[in-house]
Parts: sequence; structure tokens; C-alpha cells
Amino acid sequence: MSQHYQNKETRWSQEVAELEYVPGLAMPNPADSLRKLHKKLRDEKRNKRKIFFMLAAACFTVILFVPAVVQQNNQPPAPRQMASPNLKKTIIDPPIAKENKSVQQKVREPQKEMSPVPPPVIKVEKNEPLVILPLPGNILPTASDSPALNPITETAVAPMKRKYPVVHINSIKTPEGAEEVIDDIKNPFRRILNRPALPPWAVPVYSSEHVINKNKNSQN
Amino acid sequence: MEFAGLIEEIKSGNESAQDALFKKLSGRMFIVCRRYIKNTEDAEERMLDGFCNVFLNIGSFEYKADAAFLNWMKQIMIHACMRQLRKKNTVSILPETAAGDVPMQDDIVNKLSASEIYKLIMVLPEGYRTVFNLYVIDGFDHNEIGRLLNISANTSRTQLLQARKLLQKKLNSNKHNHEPALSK
Repeated sequence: MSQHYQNKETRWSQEVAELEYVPGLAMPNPADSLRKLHKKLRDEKRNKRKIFFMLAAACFTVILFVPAVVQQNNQPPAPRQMASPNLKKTIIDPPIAKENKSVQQKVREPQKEMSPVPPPVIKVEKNEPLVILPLPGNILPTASDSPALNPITETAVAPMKRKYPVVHINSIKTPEGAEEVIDDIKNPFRRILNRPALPPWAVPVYSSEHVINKNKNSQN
Repeated sequence: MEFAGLIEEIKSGNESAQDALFKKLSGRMFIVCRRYIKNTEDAEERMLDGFCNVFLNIGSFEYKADAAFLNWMKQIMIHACMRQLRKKNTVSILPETAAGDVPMQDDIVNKLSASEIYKLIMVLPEGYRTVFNLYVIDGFDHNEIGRLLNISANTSRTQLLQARKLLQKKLNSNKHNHEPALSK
């Protein structure tokens, strides 16, 4: 611009550019203008502050919600309900459920391989009133009973699907002169009742639960 | 070094220094804004916008001389005015035949005072006046004017030529009307 004004022909244009006062074109009210300027400056600062707080709030929201969303995405989805053509609801299992099954299987696998503690062997003589009733399935041999077991099997709780030779109580007639015999007290799996026993050739085979239920019914 | 101290005080956040600078330069800056915007209230608003920008951005200004500071302020005022002209789309580019074929006579211009030339410029149509002000008075080139007004550089050249011719015409008529006053 300085070169522009050095031109001789544009001397008048420089004078016009540097005019500080033109008669009849002065600012109407300088004091009022100054007041307006202060207001404008205040508004500008307030707007800047507002923008800053909005940005800060946006950042805070992102920081709070992103981990929550990520955590929610990592959780297994709820089973979806889809309408089948005949208007019956079908529940589709989420695919992650298979993984849980495999984990359970892994836990149970050593249980198959392990050799459970054999049931107590009770010598029953003829005409002795003995009935062996194993307790419900949650009573299992612990590590203290069999220290050689794999530690994983300690946490696995599963009923033993093993059939024991038991005697149906209702079908037994009490023989005369029956006495209560307590043979091995230390063994917790052994329960000896003062009931007559069938001869060995007439002993039916039931599952443990069945026998317990039957036993309860007979007691009632 | 008239403004060096004021600028430093404004940079340190002194509001009375802002008031002092405004009182010193508001008249000059208002005249600059009035060259581009005819309406007094709009020109005042643009001047206030310009001062606002000056005070908000003065921290990035490095003082070297008063002329440089005044030039910087004037640029800010001009850009504030251009924003309004672009926003309201009031810069109407007139056809080339609007002005007659009148040769330039700089000797007549030199005989007029700056205030009289200023008033003659204010009479020009808005499109001509804007290009004339930007090129002749404030020293922008045609490419810069094209960018500021969203027109091509050639359009800016044509508008300037027509503005010169129209101004010359008005100067000639002014000379005939006020021959005794000008001869003094």
C-alpha cells in the first residue's frame, strides 16, 4: 500500500484514506458507541466461555459414555424373540452360551476321568436288617477323602449317577430277632437303619433319589 | 510511538486503555467504515465489530510503528464492512454501459479537497464505490478485491474503470457548478 501511495497521481487518494473528520459525517454519539463496545466485548467473552463449557461437557460425556458402551458391547446379548410363521415365539440362544457350556464341560471332564471313591462295602450277613442309603448328590468325596484327585474337581458339583444296590423297605417283612448293627461308624456314607433286609437274591436296584423319595413316602 | 504504550496496556488487560484507544481512533475508523457502508448505524455497528476484533486479537499483534498499527486496524475495519456487504449481498455489479466514455482528468481531482472527493465517492453506486475504495483508496489489488467480493479479477477491473469514468463525470459537473470555489 505504501508503494501505491507513492504514486504521484494517487496523492489525493492517500489524503482521503487518512481523513479523520469529514464535515457532516461524524459519529453521532461517541459515548453511546463506547457503551455498545463494552457490551459487545462482554458478549464475546461470554460466548467464548459458553463454547468452552459446551466443549468441556461434550468431552466429559464422551469420556463417561464410551467405556460404558464398550462394556455393554462385551456382555452377551439377551436372547432375541422372533415371531415364527405360526405365531409361536421361538427363543434363540445367544452364541456365547456355547462357550459357557464348553467351560462347564472342561470342569466336568476330570470328574469323568477320576475314579470316585467307591461306596463303602458292607458285609451283610444273612437276615441282617441293613439298608444303605447314600445321601443326596451334593455330598461327594472331597479332596481330603482322595488327595490324589485333580484340584479342579473340588469345585465341580454334580450328582453321581451311580446306581447302588438298595432294598425296598416296604416289601420287607421284619424277621424275628433282628438287631441293629452298627458296623463302620467312621464312614459318613453309611447309614444303618433298624429295618429288615431282603435276602441278597431279592434285592432290587433303584437310583438313590428314587429310594430317598420312597423312603420319605413310607415314613409319612 | 503514540500507540505503543496503549497497546501494551491493552495487552495486559487494562480496560481504560481500551477506552483511550477507542476515543483516539473511533472517528477515523468511522470515516473508513462510512466509505463502504452508507447507512450511519450500520457503519457504526461495523466499526464496533472491528474494534471488538482489534481488542480480542491485539495479543497477536507485534508493534513496529504507528502507521503499521493504523494500517492493521483499518484492514480489520474493511474486512468487517466486507462481511456485511457479502452477507446482505448488496454489492451490485452494474453493466459496463452505465457510465459514459469520459476521459480521466487528474488535474481536476487535485484541485479538490479530500473531504470533497470523499463526498463525491459516496455518491457513486455501491458496487462501483466498493471497488473504487478498495483499489484506489485502500490499495488492494484486483485479485484481493475479487476474493473479498466473490467476483472475478476482470470484473473488478471493469467496475473500477466504470467507477473512474462516473467519478470523472461528476467531477466535471462539480467543476462547472462550483468553478469560483475551486479556482480559489
